[in-house]
Amino acid sequence: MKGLVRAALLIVVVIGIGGSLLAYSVVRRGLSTRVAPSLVEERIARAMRRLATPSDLRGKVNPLEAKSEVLSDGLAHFADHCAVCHANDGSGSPMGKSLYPPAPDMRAARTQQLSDGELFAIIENGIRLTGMPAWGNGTPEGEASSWALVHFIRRLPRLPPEDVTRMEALNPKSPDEFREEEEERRFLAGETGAASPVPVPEKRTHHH
Amino acid sequence: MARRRLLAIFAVFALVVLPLRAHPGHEHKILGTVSMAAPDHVMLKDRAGNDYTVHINGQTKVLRAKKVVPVSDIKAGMRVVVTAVTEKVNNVERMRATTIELGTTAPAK
Repeated sequence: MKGLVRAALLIVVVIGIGGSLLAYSVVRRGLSTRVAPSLVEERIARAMRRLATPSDLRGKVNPLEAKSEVLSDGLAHFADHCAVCHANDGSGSPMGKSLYPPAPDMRAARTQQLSDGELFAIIENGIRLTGMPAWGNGTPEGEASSWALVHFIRRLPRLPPEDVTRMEALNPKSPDEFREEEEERRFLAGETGAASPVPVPEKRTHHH
Repeated sequence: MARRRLLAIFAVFALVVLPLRAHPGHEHKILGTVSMAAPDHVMLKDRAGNDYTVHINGQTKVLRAKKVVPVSDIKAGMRVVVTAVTEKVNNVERMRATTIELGTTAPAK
């Protein structure tokens, strides 16, 4: 009985000290996303993500054949929807790296070791409490787009530089970004004088 | 025994509340002309006449027409677009290039 009371007291003291430390840390440093998640958070997040994958999807194999048009669709889709956080080569954009948890390196073994079904489930359903949205819309066309993305993600560890260049032209750009890019191109080409107005192309659309 | 348990619990809290690695700072773009090029840094002047020193490391990509070229291709007088991040080394803030796009070499005066 005495031991039980001592153990309960110890737990209360530890929780109290731990809670105070946590509160002190939050008050002093705030809850910034500019730091990397701790190992404990990372482990918990990965375990939760795995548990959240529907069991019928986990073992599912990509039903699409990795034909060139499927890969090309995946590339265009990734450049238009995913690269803003994941970067064209899957390494993570500055914005994606500032998320909490940061967008993972899609080329790394930890991502590549996920099954086709797990990648598909992440794309379709998103991941709660992260920056990953659910892209699924419940249509067969939407699912086909997600499976094409799964094929493209498999190519990321050996993506040729010419594909990255192709994707740069497909990345969504604001009128300001377009003007900035055109200004840089003209500057590098040695053009001088006041910059003439740069025509902004009409908004491109990409069907999801 | 209780002391060991306490230490272990503190270690877990430390891992949760004291994350270690910080992200690098914001990206900057500089459109300028190279005034001096070395293997580990480049000095340039932008169009407004401001001088910059940007450090180069193994992760810096040097590109010409979107193709990777060696750092030694950077020459004085060349127009470049530098994308750089700020970082602190020995408590001194400095700029490190992530990419350097090479353009034309300015005509000799």
